[in-house]
Amino acid sequence: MLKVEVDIFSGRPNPVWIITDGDEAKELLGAVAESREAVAKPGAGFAGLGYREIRLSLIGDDEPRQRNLAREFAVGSTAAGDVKASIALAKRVLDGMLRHRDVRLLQHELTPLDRSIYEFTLEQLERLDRSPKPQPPPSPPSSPLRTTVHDAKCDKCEYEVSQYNPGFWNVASVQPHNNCYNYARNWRTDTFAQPGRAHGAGTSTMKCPNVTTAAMADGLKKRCDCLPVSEWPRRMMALVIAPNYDYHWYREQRGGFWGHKPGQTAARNVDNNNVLVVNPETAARGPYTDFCGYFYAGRSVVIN
Amino acid sequence: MVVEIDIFSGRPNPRWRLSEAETARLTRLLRSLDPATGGPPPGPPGLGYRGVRLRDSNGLTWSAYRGFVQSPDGLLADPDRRVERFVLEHLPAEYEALRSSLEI
Repeated sequence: MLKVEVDIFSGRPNPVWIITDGDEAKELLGAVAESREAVAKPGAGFAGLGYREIRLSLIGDDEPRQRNLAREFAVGSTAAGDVKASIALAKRVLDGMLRHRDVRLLQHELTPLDRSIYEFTLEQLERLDRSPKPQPPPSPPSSPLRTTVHDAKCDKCEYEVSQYNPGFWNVASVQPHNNCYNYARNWRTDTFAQPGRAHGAGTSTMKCPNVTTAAMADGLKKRCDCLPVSEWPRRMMALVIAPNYDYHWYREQRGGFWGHKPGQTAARNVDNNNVLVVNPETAARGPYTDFCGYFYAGRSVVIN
Repeated sequence: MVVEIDIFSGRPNPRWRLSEAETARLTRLLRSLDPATGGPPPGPPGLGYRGVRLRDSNGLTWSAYRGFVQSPDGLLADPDRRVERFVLEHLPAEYEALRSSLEI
């Protein structure tokens, strides 16, 4: 016997039926075996909302198997080598939906195998047939100097940590003209950049909310407000404040530590106690006593 | 002479110009210092007060921090921190709020 599931719904159960007719199952599996490029690994294709794939699986441990055909596979999948052929095969499978509704399953209480479900599925399959082959989700570009990591505080978000490279900053032509904001954003402007200044939103009030607002005018996002891959490379920055006097920024580096550049001084990765900064919240920060929070800075963040 | 207090990270450091009379007094003070002996001077921390910098009209610079002055001619001893105190005594009103955080 062969189980068929149309992976299409999000809330209600997917349409499911069982092909009990041994000859029909054998004929279908034979057609699948002759068109290997039409078959895909389950779950490997489009994974968003709407029609995704039709999964077929053998439901007994003594079912006869076709050569080189897995016990479970997908057709009508964007991950198939030949998507057109895969969709054609899926339509053939879908045609059997109404014939097999007599074998009652629990899922049929909420998702009956009726003509409206059939036509809804068929319409989406045909739409997929007409559309260009969907591209797989974009991946961040690879770079030997940057690594993409998941945010430990919000796993759905990713950002890049880069190789610690203080030598770029600690030369006479760069060091005096770039500050902590330049370093954390990783943008040498040679203007001693100020949060918000590039967008007419600078502040002279040295408190967390004010500097945060100014920096967000430059395009920074609060942590867990995920940045898309198109914002690669995406930095993780941390903001601290010496109340009423000044602000300071850190940038997370590859290797589990943070780099920073106090004013005109050299870029470094140690705190005021000469200890590696592994957590800007607990690092020795002198008068910068207020920890304001973490931010993402994508490529569209402009500072000056 | 231009004075700069090296203290900020994000904002530009406080900086101002001394009057001619003030410059003359500070110059005499610098000339009165003896060469330092012993080990290297303490390095400033990354965040917070990191000393004062002086630049004269010829572009010569001095840096004073915790009893030592790095001059164009070498390291000088200033155990009473007279150079830093001189700067503190001439702090412009607009930077008055910084006085308590200067650790001098």
